[in-house]
Amino acid sequence: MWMQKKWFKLFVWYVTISFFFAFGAILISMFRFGPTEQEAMSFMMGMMKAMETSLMGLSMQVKEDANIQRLVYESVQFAFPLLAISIAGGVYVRCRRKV
Amino acid sequence: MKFDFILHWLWALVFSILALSGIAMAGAKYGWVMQYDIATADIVHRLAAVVYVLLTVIIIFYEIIRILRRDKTKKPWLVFGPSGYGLFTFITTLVFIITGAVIWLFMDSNHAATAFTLWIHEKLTYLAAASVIWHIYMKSHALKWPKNKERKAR
Repeated sequence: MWMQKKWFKLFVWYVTISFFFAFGAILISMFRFGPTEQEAMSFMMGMMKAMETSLMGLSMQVKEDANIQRLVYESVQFAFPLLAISIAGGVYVRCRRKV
Repeated sequence: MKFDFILHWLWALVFSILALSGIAMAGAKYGWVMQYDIATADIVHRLAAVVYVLLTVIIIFYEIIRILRRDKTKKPWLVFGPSGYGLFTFITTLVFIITGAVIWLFMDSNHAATAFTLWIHEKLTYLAAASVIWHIYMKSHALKWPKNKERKAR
């Protein structure tokens, strides 16, 4: 059984601890004082940097490109009928099942 | 190793990465989680989101194939289920994906939609994080370290 292997137990502990850290971080951040001016500045600086060097900035550049915008628009035109067909297929399969 | 078992733990790992990187971007109070490196948090969050959506699609397709094959064997490790925590996970996942897509696509074109979905996305994160702690508590037997048989034999 994989769950009994030590390396896998370590993985489970790692994932569990990460969730406890995430939940702890939320509680600490939510109920503490602040943010201080320095923290607000650091956050704003981080956001500004993200606008330039991350996917956030890249996506903004993409939106300024007319060709890509047209491609996205046409993809959306395809996406909605496909979504409708998928939902109809799902409902059909679910209704056909006897149990 | 079972397919549903792999999916469960991959999904848990990706969700953990999403939670941590997402919290770092939630506001100035939360930025310390990733030392205010919002650019890295943003890249990590978006890349993990793509994997998260792919895994979700795989799980849904896996479930559809099971229905079509009339496979009624119990899959205790599957992420989504028809009731209980599985149903809660399924609904929250869909809301996460829809709101995430709106935030990603309309960030600088429709500010009202982005602000509204961002609010839902953030509040749902807190709810999902609390629910995961509850889920871990209920399944805490998985954390028990295997006993050393040799030592026991002595």
